[in-house]
Amino acid sequence: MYLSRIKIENFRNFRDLDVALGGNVVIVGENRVGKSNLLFGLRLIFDPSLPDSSRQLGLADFWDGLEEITSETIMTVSVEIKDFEDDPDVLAVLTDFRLDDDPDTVRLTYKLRATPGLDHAPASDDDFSFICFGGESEAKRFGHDLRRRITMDLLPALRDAEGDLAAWRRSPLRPLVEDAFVAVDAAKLKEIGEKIAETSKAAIEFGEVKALEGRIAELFLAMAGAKQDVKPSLGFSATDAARINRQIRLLIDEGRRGVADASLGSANLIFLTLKLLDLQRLIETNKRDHSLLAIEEPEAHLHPHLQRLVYKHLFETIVEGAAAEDAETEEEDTGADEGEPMSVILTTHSPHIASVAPLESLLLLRSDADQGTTGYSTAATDFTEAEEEDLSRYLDVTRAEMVFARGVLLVEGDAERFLIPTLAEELDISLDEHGVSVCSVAGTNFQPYVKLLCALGIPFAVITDFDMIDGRPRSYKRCLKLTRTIDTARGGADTDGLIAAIKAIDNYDETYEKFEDFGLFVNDSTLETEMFGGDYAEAMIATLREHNFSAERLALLDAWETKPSDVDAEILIKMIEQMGKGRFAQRLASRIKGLTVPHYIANAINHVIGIV
Amino acid sequence: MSDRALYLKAAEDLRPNDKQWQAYESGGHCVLLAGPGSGKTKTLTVKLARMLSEDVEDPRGIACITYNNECARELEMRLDGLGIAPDGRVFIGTVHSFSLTQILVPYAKVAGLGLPDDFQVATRRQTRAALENAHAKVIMGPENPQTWDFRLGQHRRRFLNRDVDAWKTADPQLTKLVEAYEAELRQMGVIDFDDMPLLALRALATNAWLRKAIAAKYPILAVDEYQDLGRALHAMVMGLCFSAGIRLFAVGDVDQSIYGFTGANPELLKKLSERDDVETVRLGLNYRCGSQIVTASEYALGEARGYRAPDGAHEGTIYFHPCTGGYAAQARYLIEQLIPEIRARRPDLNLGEIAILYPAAFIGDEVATAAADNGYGVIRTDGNALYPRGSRLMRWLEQCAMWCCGGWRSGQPRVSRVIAEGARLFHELLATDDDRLQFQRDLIATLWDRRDDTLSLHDWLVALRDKIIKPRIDRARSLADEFETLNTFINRLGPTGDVEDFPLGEFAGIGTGLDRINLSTLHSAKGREFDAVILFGMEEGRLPRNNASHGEIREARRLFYVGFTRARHEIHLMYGQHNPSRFVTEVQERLEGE
Repeated sequence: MYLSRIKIENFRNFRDLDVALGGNVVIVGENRVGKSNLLFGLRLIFDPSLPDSSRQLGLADFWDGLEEITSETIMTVSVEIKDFEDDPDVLAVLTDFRLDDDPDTVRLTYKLRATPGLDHAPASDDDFSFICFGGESEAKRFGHDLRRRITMDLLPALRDAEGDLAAWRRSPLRPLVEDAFVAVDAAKLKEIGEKIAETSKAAIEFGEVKALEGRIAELFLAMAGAKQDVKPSLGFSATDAARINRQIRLLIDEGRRGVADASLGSANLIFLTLKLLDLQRLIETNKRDHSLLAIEEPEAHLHPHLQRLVYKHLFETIVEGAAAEDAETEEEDTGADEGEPMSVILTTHSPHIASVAPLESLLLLRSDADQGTTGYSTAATDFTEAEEEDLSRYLDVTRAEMVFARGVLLVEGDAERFLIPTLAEELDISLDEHGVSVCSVAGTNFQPYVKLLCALGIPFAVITDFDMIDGRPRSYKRCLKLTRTIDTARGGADTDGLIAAIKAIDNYDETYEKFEDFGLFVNDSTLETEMFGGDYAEAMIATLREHNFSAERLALLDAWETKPSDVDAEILIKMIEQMGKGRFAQRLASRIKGLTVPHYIANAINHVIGIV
Repeated sequence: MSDRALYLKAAEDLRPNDKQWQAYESGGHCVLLAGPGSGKTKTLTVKLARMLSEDVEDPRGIACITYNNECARELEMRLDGLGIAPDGRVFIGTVHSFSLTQILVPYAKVAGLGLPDDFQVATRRQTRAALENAHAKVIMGPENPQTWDFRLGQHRRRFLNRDVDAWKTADPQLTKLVEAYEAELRQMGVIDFDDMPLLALRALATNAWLRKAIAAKYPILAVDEYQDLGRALHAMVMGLCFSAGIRLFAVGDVDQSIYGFTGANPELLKKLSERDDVETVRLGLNYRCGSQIVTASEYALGEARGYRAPDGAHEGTIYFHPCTGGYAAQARYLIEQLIPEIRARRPDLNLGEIAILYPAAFIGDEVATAAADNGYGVIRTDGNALYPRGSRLMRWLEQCAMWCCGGWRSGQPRVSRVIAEGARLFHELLATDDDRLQFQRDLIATLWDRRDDTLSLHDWLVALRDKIIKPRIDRARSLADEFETLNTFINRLGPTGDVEDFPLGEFAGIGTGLDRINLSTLHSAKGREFDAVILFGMEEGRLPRNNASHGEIREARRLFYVGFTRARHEIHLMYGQHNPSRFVTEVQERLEGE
């Protein structure tokens, strides 16, 4: 099974959130946009450790933007689930909750409304009551019976991993150890217990220790009196066979130190490891059928490399792997693929984690003053397999940053990436302040990135080269295709008509002007030749001189310096490539103060700034 | 949820009987052919307990379908004794309640059955009205439309699949009537009793996902009294068990198939038992009837089945009573002569261990009159009973009455059981814990104030109806008819009714089943057993009826056999001396020929 949709109405940050999900969910968004509230919404449905008294929400939990809360005002959190037929246990739990018009989708809803029969407008929290129901009929209630089988566990952001590990009752180690000890021979345990008692007694028998024990007992008796005497003594902890397992501690550094001495990051990691093992155990022993593991800000205290390693492993090996393993063992008797028994839900500010998250899992929350928080997800976007591969490969950390940006400038390569922030400063615009990132797609295949940004509702502009080859601009087809994608994503009523209309335009100038409406900005040749032809010849020649060119090439530079119009674009590009486009751009960036920003770049920057 | 020790202990009782043990050990589809008194209910319940504990894990469960609510109650009680409380994992009920609660209520919309929103179950008044209207449209004419009821039902049950040509061509008029009748019902927003299995079957046939869902919820389907459950259930079993992968545990006896008029057919069970992928186990011992009765029962059936009583069983006696006079005179003879004789022979016998069985309800009237004249209490289980014994609501009210009449002191019945059964009756309305708690409070308060066995039953019933039932009944799909039954009974007890009001204690006594002679039709005696059984009115023209077809004669014979095998110690055959049933004559002749 997987969560295929979440819909929230009138709950805290959300007036009307309705987004498609793709199973695992990686929630990104700025602070205070409602990431934790979204998790809490899911807990209302799935978390058995949340008492019903906490499900009983009140006035303060309605969306702030509501002008008035009447007896008609309703708060709902509902999720839809698909692919629930693979595991018969999951199917048995969920089957009654199908949608009336779609047997392949199950819906679970939490609903808070004024208590039925209330004879006045709701005035206090007590005037509200909640129900949890499935499908489309409020009569189909669900409760603990469902949460026990399909369970959400939340690891909150500021968890005290160290403290939880140290306290036996809360420790995720406890169920694992208890489980492991079930099969251990009780007689042997008893024997060990006796040995421990014996050995530890010897340690207490030292005269000095005995004397201390005596002093404690004596003073206690003197203070508390004989009636209250608890008869204190010194010893190691309890040694009876049934409790021996409680003495087991997780040690680190090859047993030299306890968890208390671990770093915060390690403690969190250990906690996560144990938790995952416990979830696997619960599913294997049929204590539950599906785990929804929610982790808030999993990046906390973790080095970037570890973030990537740990969560890559979590997504690729544990979540997917559990499904594969399940399918393997089940195949023999039922031939059924049981589906993934675990879904992971993360909230994160870390591009490192976003970069390893499955593409279809991204959920971006954005706050809109009048509308409450809205959501954009990649789950419903129809990426081709090649696009998905492309994106997954290219969504490395720098590019994953665009998921966190308020606006994005998509460019072809490093040259633009290095130059554009500086060029923006020339326009008195700080991209950082506007939260705009410049992302290179390393080529001209903008398609998947545009799809991704459209899906996530992130404003963007594309800056690309005209690329005249054999008398035809390569960029024409590129832009036409992107326009189609963008218009479709915008929900354009007649995309085919639009494309036909653009094709009917008989000159490039007008056509490219049209493309600018869609955020596509194109120069007349390539970046470098365009700049050389503009204001930048001097600065570029100065930059190229930093490189060790042959005398012949240096002579060319001298010639172009005196007469820039003599420049041979092909040789110029070759020289820049020889120097390294990126390095060239970086070096050039320090020389462009006061020069005119190429108009198409200025337009692109202004376009994005205008819509973020 | 189950206490393994209880059923493991009970299983030890099955071990000496290698057939029962074989059924207990079965791992795949299993058909248990179980003659009278063969210990089938015990085998079934212990096997159910085992499967629940060992074969099916939470959250999946077992569905157990049986003939009527009475049988369902019996199974529940036995399972309770094995430590299995009814909960979400176990369904026990009739084909109709399975169809309604497991398929129609949860899936009517999504399965595309085209039922009205929030459809209800039709009351008898509504079905009568629907038939009247349909008749006026399709048949017309002055006759009583209700005379079509029987044929209507048969026609609907005959065509499980209406996509075949025969549905249009076999009897076009009847088909039109059915369609008009069903349209009338839908317009009223209701479905009727026959609709339940038919619609459920249609939903299963057209939605693969639904078969899969039922298989997920209930990987095992147990069916009791298979021979009497009809073609709709058989079609469901075929689809669910032999294509959707549910494991079948079916119990039945082709010789006890007596509900041909509702569409039952012994051949279905026979065919099932002959399948290669089914393990068929035939139980051979009859633990109930005395050895003589076991022997004679094969003469009654007219088939050699090889049944025998276990070694060392009592013999049992067969009495023939050729009588003179009409049924009234015979009934007086029965009550004034036979009953005292039986009680003299068996002084410790409770009257509740005696049953008088007859072919038709009107004959029971004569017996009831004679019994009343002689001061015997009776419990009637036939169409002329005070209220239908099959009514779940009435049976629950009996339990409540028992609790008011001393049960609150003795713990018989336990209050938790009274509450639990009530909660299950009204389950549709008790969605939340608060609802349940409120129901429990109301019920206890109402009963607590009425702990007096001298109270007028009429007043007591009115109080329970108005305080407990009426406020909740509106939204219960399955209880409308039951509520009508209760109201009819209350009216009959009332000032203008035809039945004299009687004290609550009496009503509670009916619930206990003690100190009252059982009066029942042969049909309603199905599945029950008594120490002494009197088969009354065993005459040609009654059993079999006049002009019976070949098939009807065979079914009449099975009915005779069912009555015959209800007896542990004494079986009495009563008939007009010049007109004994051919089945009686054959038994008599063969016994004399031994």
